[in-house]
Order: sequence, then C-alpha cells, then structure tokens
Amino acid sequence: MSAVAGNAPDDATPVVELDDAAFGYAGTPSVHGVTARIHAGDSVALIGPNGSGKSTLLGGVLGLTEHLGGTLRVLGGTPRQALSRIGYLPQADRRDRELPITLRQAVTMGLYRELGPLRPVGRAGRARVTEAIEAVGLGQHAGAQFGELSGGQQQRGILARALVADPELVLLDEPFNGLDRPNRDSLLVTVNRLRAEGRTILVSTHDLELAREACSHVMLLNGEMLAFGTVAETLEPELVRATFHGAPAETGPHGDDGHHHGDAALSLGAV
Amino acid sequence: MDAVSLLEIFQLPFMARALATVAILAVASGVVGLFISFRDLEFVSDGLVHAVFPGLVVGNLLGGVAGVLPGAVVAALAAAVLLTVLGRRPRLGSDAGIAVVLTSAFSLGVVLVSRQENYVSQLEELLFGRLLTVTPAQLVQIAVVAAVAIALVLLTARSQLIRAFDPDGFRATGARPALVDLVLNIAVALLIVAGVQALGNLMVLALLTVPMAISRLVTRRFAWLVPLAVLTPLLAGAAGLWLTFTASVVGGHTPSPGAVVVLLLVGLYGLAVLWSLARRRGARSRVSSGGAR
Repeated sequence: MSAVAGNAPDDATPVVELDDAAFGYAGTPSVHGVTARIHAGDSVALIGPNGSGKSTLLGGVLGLTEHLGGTLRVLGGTPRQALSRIGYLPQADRRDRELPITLRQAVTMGLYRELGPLRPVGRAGRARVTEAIEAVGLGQHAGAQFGELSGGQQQRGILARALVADPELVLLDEPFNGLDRPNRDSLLVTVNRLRAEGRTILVSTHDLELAREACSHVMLLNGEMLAFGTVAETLEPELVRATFHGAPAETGPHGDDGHHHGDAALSLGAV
Repeated sequence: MDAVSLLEIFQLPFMARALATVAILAVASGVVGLFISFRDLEFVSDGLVHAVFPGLVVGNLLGGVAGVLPGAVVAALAAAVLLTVLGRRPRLGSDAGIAVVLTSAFSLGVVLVSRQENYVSQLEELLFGRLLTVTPAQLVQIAVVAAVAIALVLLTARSQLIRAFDPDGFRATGARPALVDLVLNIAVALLIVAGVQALGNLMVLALLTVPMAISRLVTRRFAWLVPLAVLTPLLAGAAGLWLTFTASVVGGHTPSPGAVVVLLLVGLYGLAVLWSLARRRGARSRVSSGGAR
C-alpha cells in the first residue's frame, strides 16, 4: 500500500474540516457544536459515553447521518465526493456471520465500489486483497469462513476491507469493543502503522488508554463537542469527568460491554 | 402394466415442455433464491406470491388465458414497490405490513375469482398450476421473464451481497439501499410470475425458497450454493413428472404434478436436515474426543 502523506493536499488544507457542525437523524441532532480541523496524518480518538454522538459524527463524515447545521468539508469537498477515498469499519453488531463467505470474499467487497457491478476483480485486485489480509496479520486465514473466525479476527478482517482500496481517511467505529488482549494489540499495531503511513484516522472509543497509545488528538463528546486538541492537553481530569458525568469509562481492555471496571475518575491518575 | 421409462415419457412433447419449464425455473430460482436466503426474504416472497394472485384473477377476467400473464406482471410490480416501501419503514413493522398485504391481496383474489361460474376448478388452477399443459408460447414467456429476473440479480449481485453481509458497510459504499432492495423484490416478483402459471401460486414459493435452504444445509462453500440449488429442483422435477405420469397411466389417477414436485423437493430438504445434523454430531464428537486427549 502506498504511503498517503505525499499525495495529501496542501498541508494547510485539512482532511476533515468541521465548524459548529451538527449531525443527527430525522431532523433531530444527536451531536452538535463540533468544530475541528483534522490534518493529514492526524489520528483522532472520539471519546464519550454510549449515545454521546460518536457514531453519529462518523456517519456524518461519511454522509450517512443527516448534516443538520454548521459546515463540513471532507477531503476538500462533500462527504459523497470523498467517499471513494474513505475507508470505514462499522460497528460489528449488524454483520450477518451466518453467510457462507470466506474472509477473502469479505475483504474483496472493499473493491466493489471501484470495480462497479460487473468488472472482474482480476489478478491485480486479488493481489491487493491478499496484501490487505496479510497487513492485518490474517494471511493464513484468507480461505477461512468469515463467521468461523474469532470476533477479533473478524474485526481485523473488516479493517482489511476498509484498507484494500488504499483510503486517505480511515473511520473506525468502536473497533476495540469486546476484543481480547492479543487482538487488541494487533489492531493497535495496525492503527499505528496507518498513522506512520500518513493516513488520517478517526476512531470512536470509550477506551482512554487506546487514545493515549494510538492517537495524536482527542475529541470529547457528550451530545455536543466538549473539547478537541492534542492528547496531552485534552485528556484532562476535569474535562473527562465532565464528559462522562461520573459514568464509567474504560481504562483498558476489559472486554465486553457491561464489564467496565473503574470509572473515569479512577483512570485519570494515569493521564 | 409397467411403469414407463424416464426417457420415453420425456419424448412426449407436453412432458418435455413440463421438464423444460421446471429446468428454466430451477436455474432462475437458484440464482434469485441465493439472495432471498441471504437477505431473509422468505416471508417477503410469500407476500409477493399472494399479492400476484389478484393480478392473475383480474387478468383472467379481463383477457382470459392471454390476460393472466400481463395481469400477474402488473400486480407483481405493484406489490414489489409496496413491499420495498414497507420494508424501509420500521415503524409500520415490516412483518406486520407484509402480512396485511398478503392476506388482503389473497382475499381480494378469492372474492374476484368467486364471481366466475366454475370457480372451484379456476381456483385450483390458480393455486396449483398446470404444469402438464404448458404451451410452447407460454414456455417462451416463462423463459423471457426468468431471464430478466436473472439479469436483474446478476447486475446487482455485488451490492446484494455486501448489503446482506454488512448493511452499515453497504451504506458507506454510496449505493442506494432502496434501489437495491427494489431490484431484488422485482426480480423475485418476476420469477413468481414466470413460475405461477406452471406451478401455481402456492408451489412457486417452494421453488424460490426450498432449494437454497437445502444448499445452505449441505455446504458452506459459496461456489456450490447456486449449482446445488439448481440441481435439486431439477431432480425433484424430473422424478415428480415421471411419478405423476406413471400414476396416471398405471393407476388411472393424475395427482397435481406441481404438488408432487414440491413434495419431493421437501423430501430432499428432510434428507439435507438429517445430513446436516449427522455431520454436526460428527464434528462435535471429534471436538470432544480431541479435547479429552
């Protein structure tokens, strides 16, 4: 995969530009007051409790949720114009794991947009699929049934699908939810490599440790944007506490929902 | 009297046409049935089957036998649009909406057909089809409608696959879910129209859903799903026609060939269930003996 930094537009042009933007459904905003300039190579953690608007904001950047106010520019244009340059990893819960398709088929779907309805995948396409699968460390599972992979392997597979079209902007919606330590570490390595390649990353999470390990910037959300800046200046105890209203925040890889240990205040000693 | 050999009976023109009808419908329902199964559209298909019924009746009332196909096409397209709209409004409750369309359309059809004089035999023909009296012209109609249904599905196959697998990822490709859903519903509706005259209203649903259900029980290899789903109704079709013919010649009684074909198909489904259970049990015992080591 090519490094993207060199292809990025003028350094001054942000990859994602938001000014008092609001996004929501059926005319009702779920998140508002979002102002940020995200540049090539930035990696931004969207942090907030459940229902704080993280996924809604990611959907807005893709043009999937309603843009209800303010300005939004993605890669210099509208989300729809930028779509072919964006890689997206949606939340895992709506995937049909019963479909009898292989990991390779699932990753090939990342090329469908480029290929259109009928153009064959071809040798070059197959080579890109293989490369993307190997890049997330699943080379030996390429022919396996997608539904028979572990949850973490499935996430890495969908990440490979998001990356196979060589996107400049990568949007990851709760990619670390429910992952065990090895899969989480593997996904972190991939995210850090994407950063090193100069891609821009937006990742939603309620895992503060992840933000410190893999991100350059943090955006705190709770129905509105509470703060945006570098990790060091934004993961302040006061700000994080305000974001979570004392509600639990994950401090590390504790596994599934419902097993949040500690709370935001507890985790802040390490900030 | 002896049973008649397979080769002999399919040299009779009307039996050859019946077999050709089953073969065309087997190929088309294999392709379209893949996405009915992947998208869990079995109940939607049932709704479409029943919604086509009043179209058949009105077509028949207005134009006789020649009016049946146009009537069915109009009803099928209207129902496909209606069910696509209902499917996209979760507040109306998709399943409840389908049930309303299904029962009201079917009742309307029955009321209309009861105005006919020989209404019981008319109803029976509409429900169970006339596989043995397919005319050459009807065979051409069936082939054309089935080909359009296959083309619609093949043209949108990639979108259908990713929509079935990951609806959120699908929306991020920039494709239009409503359009992709509508195309699939129209393909299903057209295939129902193609099958309904020969197999009847109730039997065509079995052809759309049972073969792919068998395939998914028997294999997890994507590439084998459609070929298997074409092969099973072909086998059931040839055997069912032979049984019907033999029963008629030997026993002097002709059961509905469409019903016999479907019963055989369901028999194959039963075998597939047993096979799948046996294989799963085998896999479990291998795992537990491996774990004991």
